[in-house]
Amino acid sequence: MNHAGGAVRLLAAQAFVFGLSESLLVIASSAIFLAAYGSKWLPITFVAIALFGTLIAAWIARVVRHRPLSYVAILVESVVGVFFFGAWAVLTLWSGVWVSAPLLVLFPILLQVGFVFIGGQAGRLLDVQQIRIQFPRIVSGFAVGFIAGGLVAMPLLRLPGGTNGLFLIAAIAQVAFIMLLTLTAGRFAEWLGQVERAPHGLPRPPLHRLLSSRFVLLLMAYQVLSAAGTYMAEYILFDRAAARFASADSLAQFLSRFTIALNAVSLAFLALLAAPLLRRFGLRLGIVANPAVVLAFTVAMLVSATTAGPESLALFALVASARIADVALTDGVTRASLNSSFQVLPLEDRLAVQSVVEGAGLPLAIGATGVVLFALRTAGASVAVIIAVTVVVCVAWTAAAVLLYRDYARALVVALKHRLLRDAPVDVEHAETAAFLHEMLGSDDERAVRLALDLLPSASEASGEHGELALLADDPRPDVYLPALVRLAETGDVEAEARLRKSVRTLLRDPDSSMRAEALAAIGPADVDLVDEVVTALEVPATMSAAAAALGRLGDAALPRIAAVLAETSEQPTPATVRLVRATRAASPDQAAMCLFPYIEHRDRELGLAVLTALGAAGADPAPIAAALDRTLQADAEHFARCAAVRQVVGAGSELAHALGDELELLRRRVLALLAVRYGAEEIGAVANRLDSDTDDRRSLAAETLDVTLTPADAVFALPLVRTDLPLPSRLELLAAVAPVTPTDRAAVLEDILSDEQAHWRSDWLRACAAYEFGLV
Amino acid sequence: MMLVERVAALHEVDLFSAVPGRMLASVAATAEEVTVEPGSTFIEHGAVEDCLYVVVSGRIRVHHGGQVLAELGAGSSVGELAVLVPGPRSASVTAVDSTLLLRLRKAVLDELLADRPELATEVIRALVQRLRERADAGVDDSAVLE
Repeated sequence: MNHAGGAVRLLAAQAFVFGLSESLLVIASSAIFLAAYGSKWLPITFVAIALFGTLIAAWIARVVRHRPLSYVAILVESVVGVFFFGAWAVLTLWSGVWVSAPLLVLFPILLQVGFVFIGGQAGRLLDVQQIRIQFPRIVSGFAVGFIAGGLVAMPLLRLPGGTNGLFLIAAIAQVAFIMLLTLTAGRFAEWLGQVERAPHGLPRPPLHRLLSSRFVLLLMAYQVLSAAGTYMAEYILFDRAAARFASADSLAQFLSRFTIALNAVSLAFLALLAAPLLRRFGLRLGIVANPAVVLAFTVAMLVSATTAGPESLALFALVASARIADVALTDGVTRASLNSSFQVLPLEDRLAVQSVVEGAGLPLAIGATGVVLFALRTAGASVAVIIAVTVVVCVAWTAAAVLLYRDYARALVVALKHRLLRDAPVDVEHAETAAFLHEMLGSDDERAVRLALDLLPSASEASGEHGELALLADDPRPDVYLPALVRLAETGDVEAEARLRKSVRTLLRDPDSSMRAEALAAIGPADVDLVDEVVTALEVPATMSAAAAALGRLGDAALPRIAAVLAETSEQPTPATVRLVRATRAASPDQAAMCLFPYIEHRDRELGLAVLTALGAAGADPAPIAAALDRTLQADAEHFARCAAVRQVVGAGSELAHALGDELELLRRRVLALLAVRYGAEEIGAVANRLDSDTDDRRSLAAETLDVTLTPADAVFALPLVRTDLPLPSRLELLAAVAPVTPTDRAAVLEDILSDEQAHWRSDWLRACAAYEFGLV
Repeated sequence: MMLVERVAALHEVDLFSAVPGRMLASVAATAEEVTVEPGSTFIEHGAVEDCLYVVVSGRIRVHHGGQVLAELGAGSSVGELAVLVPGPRSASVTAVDSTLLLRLRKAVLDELLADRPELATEVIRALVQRLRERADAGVDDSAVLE
């Protein structure tokens, strides 16, 4: 999307003030709460977080279905700002430390809600690929804000009453957040200022149905387990910190410094590694890395707790490191990846689902964690036992991550395959429909009769129309009596079948091409003796469409003839041969593969494209032809790099440049056809349609699907060829590692195309254009 | 004209701009070159024909009665609709300067679309685009297309 740069800057600014506000909130509220009540009451706050977090998330999920996102965000953040100001007043005027409890409860809830708002805006202003690359930059604003909060807090904590003042600064940061939300809403009103409606007047599915889909459930499981793992680790950190730092002041100082260190590492990770890692490894890393790393740390913590003891510095260092790694990975790759994964959901329901999954998932997890920790503490469980439970949670989190990534790829394909056109069989049992069809069949209007014959469903269901069909079979017009005979033959009418066979054979010899086309349209799978006539008809423009369709219906019976024609094909096949190959798409997969396999690497790239397309459509097994597919993919990538490089040398405007552009398009179509053989024609067909789409977000979703569907070995060759959303130099750059091109000059290029000594170009048209260009040099 | 020049001339026309050159070469090979002297009318109002003309060089005037509907130069075309669905010409076309044209028959276009059905989408897109551009400009010259 073209406005991405401006949107990212505004969202990063929102994230900064949001991070500042959150940082001040957590430092002040936890310092006051821990000093007043100690860590033993923390699990109770976790339960409160679950209760209030779920209620708030449910309310937001409902409201965003009826109100614009910006409206809801500004309303919620305004209430939060008023609450911060009130907390400052309560603490300053009445020393009401009790207010730290609701504030501590609010922190994780606001954290999630704030990211739902920022992520929701990003989801509407950026496409899926932009989110993957740009979201770490937006989150880096949060990390910077969080560090700034720590830096502001440190000197104030030393002053009497300074801790209370942090809430006043947090309230001012909230005002800045609201102003930025308003500014963003105004600048991008087209995307943020309205409630998304279901397209084409379709009813919106109820929220509970959306939330019960496997993909959304896995997202929920991931969020819940992620929050549980995180809060278990955080509890262990607070517990160990409280044990090491006895006084409230020293504990607050440690928390303040740790917050700065944690966010500094997170910021460095965001600035240096997050985007390159996501670009290189995609969502595979983005979703799985966080739980895997935290799991590794918790296992190390368990070993340390059981060997060196719970009071050891090694355990404390490991707990602190686990928290830092968790936050850095969450901010750097997990948030961006989860935000990207929400993009597969329908736009009109995305934010509501995101509000529930992120807004309620986290509080629920924190509540469950609180209950578990409370039970463990009541039962007198040791630190090692609590760490062991954390390990179990992290194992489940990692498993959920792997399942989620697999389902993401599937969900992307499902989102791409969503079609408005569905099979809609005519219900002949319906009395009014049947009467209407009767009327049409008896009409004097030839078009009405033809339409009725087309609409009649399969033979057994059409038996009620036998009388009309028998009458129509005696009609003198071939385009009426032939379809009627076909219908009657399908019902098992032997006489009609005999008449049909005779009529078709007679009409195929008619000098009028329209009569021959009607006969071809009536050919069925049993007419295997007519293969030669059909193949001949494929060479006549007036009958070629009907002949191609007839060949499709003949299925495997046509393959021996097609194989014979292909065997006689020269290096430059005729258009009729290409048509013949296309007609094999209805053959059985094994037979089609056997017939066409030898021609995958045919010298003529158009014929090769037809072969690959037919193999994909027939659903041929790619395993036995894997080596040929690999060679073809590599050769096409190399030729693509060659054509693109030469096109840059030749320059735009000439017919040669145009021809090279056509060659690039041919190679792109070949690679999509090859991928269809390997990964499924329906899936890749959906991707190809979206890649050709004229909207950035659709192309981006298609590119993302390829990213997660293709094996790395295929992706490295295929993506630069099919990603038309990228400029040509970028595609060449991507190809450079696997298909390097030696720089050359214009004269050498023309010479090479003309001589084609290495048989790279294989195109008379390119040679003609080069010769013409050579004459102009 | 050399084949490459013919293809280049056809590529200038919106209708063929998306057709790969190697396929357009077959079309160009069947095109007839027509030279028209200034003042000569090569399309007569009411005539039923099934061909389109591409202006390679020179200028032409589309007119009906005494009214001039359009003046077109190199890279333009007349009669796109006639080559898809033949019908009586709704205007006459006369050369303003000495004009070189390429004439294409319906049968050739039919064969091209049968070979590459996906090109039909591009042909429809090009025709609609052209009609829309003319409508936006306030010019009602469907006669040019017919």
